[in-house]
Amino acid sequence: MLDVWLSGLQGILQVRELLFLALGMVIGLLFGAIPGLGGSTALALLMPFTYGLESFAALALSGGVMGAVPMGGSISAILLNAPGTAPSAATCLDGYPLARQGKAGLAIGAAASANSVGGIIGTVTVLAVLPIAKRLVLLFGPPEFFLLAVLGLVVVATTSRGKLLRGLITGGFGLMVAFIGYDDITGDVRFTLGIPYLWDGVHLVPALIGLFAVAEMIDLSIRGGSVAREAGNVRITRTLSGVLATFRHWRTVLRGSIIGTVVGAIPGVGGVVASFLSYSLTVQASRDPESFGKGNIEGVIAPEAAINAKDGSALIPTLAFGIPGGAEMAVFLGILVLHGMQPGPMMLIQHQPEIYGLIWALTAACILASFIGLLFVRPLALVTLVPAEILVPVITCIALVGSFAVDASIENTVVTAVFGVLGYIMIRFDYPRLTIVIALVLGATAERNFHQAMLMADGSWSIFVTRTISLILLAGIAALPCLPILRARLRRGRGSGPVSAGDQR
Amino acid sequence: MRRAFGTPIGDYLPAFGLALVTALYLAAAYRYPPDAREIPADVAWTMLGLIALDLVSRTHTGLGRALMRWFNPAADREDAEAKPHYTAGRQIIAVLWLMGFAAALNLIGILYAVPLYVLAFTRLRGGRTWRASIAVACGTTLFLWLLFAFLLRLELYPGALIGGR
Amino acid sequence: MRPSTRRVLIAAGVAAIAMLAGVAHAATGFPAKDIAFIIPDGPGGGFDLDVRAIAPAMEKYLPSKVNIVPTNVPGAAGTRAAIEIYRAKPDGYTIGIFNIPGIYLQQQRGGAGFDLTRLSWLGRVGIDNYGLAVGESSPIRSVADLQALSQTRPVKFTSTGPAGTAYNATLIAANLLDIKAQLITGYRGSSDYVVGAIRGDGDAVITVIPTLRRMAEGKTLRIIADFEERASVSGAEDAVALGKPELAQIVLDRLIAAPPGLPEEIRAILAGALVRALADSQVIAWAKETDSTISPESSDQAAATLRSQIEFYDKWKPFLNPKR
Repeated sequence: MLDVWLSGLQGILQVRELLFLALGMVIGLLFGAIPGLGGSTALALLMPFTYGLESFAALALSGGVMGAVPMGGSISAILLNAPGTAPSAATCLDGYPLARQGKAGLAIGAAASANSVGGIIGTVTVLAVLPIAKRLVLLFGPPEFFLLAVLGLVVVATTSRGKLLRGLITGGFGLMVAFIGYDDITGDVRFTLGIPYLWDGVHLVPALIGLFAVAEMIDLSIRGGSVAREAGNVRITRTLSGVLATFRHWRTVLRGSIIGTVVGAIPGVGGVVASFLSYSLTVQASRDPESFGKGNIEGVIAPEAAINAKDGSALIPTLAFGIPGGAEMAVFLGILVLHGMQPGPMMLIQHQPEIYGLIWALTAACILASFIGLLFVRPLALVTLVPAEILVPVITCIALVGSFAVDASIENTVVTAVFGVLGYIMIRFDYPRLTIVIALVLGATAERNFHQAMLMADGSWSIFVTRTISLILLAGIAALPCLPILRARLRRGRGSGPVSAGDQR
Repeated sequence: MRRAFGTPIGDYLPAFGLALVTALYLAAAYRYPPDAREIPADVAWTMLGLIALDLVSRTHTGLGRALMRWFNPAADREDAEAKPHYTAGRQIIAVLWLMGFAAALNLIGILYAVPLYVLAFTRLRGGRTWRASIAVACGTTLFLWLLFAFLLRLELYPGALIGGR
Repeated sequence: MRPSTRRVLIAAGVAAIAMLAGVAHAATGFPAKDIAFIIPDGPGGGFDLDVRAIAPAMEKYLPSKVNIVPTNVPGAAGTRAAIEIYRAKPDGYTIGIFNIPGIYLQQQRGGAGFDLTRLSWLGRVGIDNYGLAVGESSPIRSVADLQALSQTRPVKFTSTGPAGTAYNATLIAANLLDIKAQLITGYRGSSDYVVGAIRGDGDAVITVIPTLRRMAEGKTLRIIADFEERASVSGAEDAVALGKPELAQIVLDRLIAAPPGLPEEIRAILAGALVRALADSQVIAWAKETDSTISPESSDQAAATLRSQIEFYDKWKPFLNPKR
């Protein structure tokens, strides 16, 4: 095993491969930062260039892009509430408030280090798991996917404990929107009002760009000023303490990385669920849940660790069976096929050095991209000082045109605008945006897998209890709402000392 | 603003709007075969119940306050904090600027709508000088063109009125 | 002659030559700018790779040096791309690749917004046959086993939703083979539903041979039937052996077309470039490396292929869409 790891490393440590890694990284950072673009667009752009390249060079390039994209996404999420990639939307929740308090440097520092640590932990996990990847992928079928989706929804719903009712409402609305479009099971087309664009449903990335970036731009244009409330307060020097914060909150990083690794390996679910789930669970575990959404540094560390951990594990179903975890993986699959590496059971046997080389490249890119992000913190944070009259139109343009560019549909701009207004209404009238995102992503998946499970079991619900993993997941779902109560009781017991000992008789 | 049950009418509007949308959604769902409508209909019915609870919780009646305390304790506390208050007119105008830009993108295309919107916004709403506004507008358009049209070879939508589909 | 008169005459002469050159270029001027090659998939999908491999080769065989730009137009099961090609100007600057019968099945459902029979067909890239497979750990060893099983209960096949090609292929094949079938629909891509069968979500799966072969290589899947007249997969029964030669008509063609009303000269240039690109050594090497089948057809043959597939699926329409 070790020699394969080393031969993979050797393959990457050539000058030419390292140059391609660096190139991929720069492109990944840029594309990650611009909403609507991202890993899939960057890889698609580079695919023709990889034609004449040898496998290792192509993989170094791809790994560079995929490792660096999350950092790019984080930067725009923190500075402008404009998630460069869908998963970074979770970073907006606490990263942007920090930027508004003039602490952009702190947030970016924490994001950079959480990124790196998460990436490393993800890599280690993937390396350990890869030999049994096939078996793992085969353990999870429609019943398990359905329960996982429900689990995700329940976690996020119970997280907005302080605003449970409104959280459930926005979540329910997200589910309703998620059901729009062609139903894979019955073949019916639902709620599209005859509009062909809606056949594939409401496209996720344009909706997210609207909910976060555009909504914020509307708010900014009304309140005026700049992102950072008081210009004099923008302290770039706190970057270092941001970097160190990750190590202080090591539990959060670990939790985020594990969640990212686990969720990343589930195909079709993707990074959004990983980052939002990590965020939600961190809020639940925290002693001060209400400080989240207002600039709690853990709210940046948790999703960032998850996003980079997921990058490695998303390779598992992709490489084992050719099931892409998301759009980025789908394009990457294309690059693999282009170079004669057919994903499938044979790949893990025939192309081991290349795979390990890729994983090294991913990890290296992730860490290096964080460094580059840190290097440019000072000029980047200046964005938070740009006055609203200039920032708002420019960012609105980039957001809407970027949303168009996702798949060259001009209708995306309408979706973005509508969700922008929706997002603003949610800000103004105090409805959480966390639940709607998860519902949008998981809604269709949950329904489809439920119907599939029913088809498998001829309509009997027993399928959920006769399969081991399903049973475990069911138990988890039942236990979740009880966790906060348990924790509160434990805390009260610990804190009150002799008095409570007496009470517990 | 007029109040109902102790709360400004405006605060109820989003919930009412959502209730209306949900009702329409439900009506549409019942036109589909049972298999296809099962889960969406369940969700929609639950939503109507939740929205009703939300409406009541926003009132200042006894039941409303109780609901707020059980389900939305954090919101309760935040409402007590001072939040900046903007007039409805100001908010609507901001939304109209956005909608106008989106409409322009669809009608006259990206390459015309972008500079027009940026110029108009920075000059009219922002009060900047002509020179500054033109500079920002040109810079934004150039950046977008370089990135999307030139680098990505993406055809920037020409606008429904001009050449688009 | 006065110097100024000479200058005027020279200028006039230059202008005349330039004008004549311009006219000549215009007459045989195709192509004069970039050509868009429309792909109904996102980047990385099967058709995407085909086009990205063929486009650079086609560029070599065009009369003038222009780019052929692979353009992704994903969405709505390929109808978005089909509509775009159908409505584009027939000037040769827009061409596209089509999944037959996949996109025809969309047209058959009605209200699609395009008519495939009116497109200007340029040729074919390749064709894939279908096959039937079961998971490695399945007790099923042959088609006869499945037929026996279907006497006791419906056989469960994993497949896409009704808009997918595999769905229709599965229904038709099962019917031809006298297997009572129930489809577990809803899987997103071919890898997805094949893994579903391996995992045991369903009893068997029917899809294109290359996908099945890929999984079978890793000993996770067993191909028990190959719907060709003569099996290319060892150990699998072919259509003749099964006594159902009609199975061989269940195929997936990758055809190339341009908008309706394409002028003959332009069609000849594009079709010629396509055929020569498919014989190009680079493309052949790529196909071998990626296990793709290249099986070119001329434009007339491609149009005939389309017609025969339309005939086949029109015949099966009442069976596939009983409600409509």
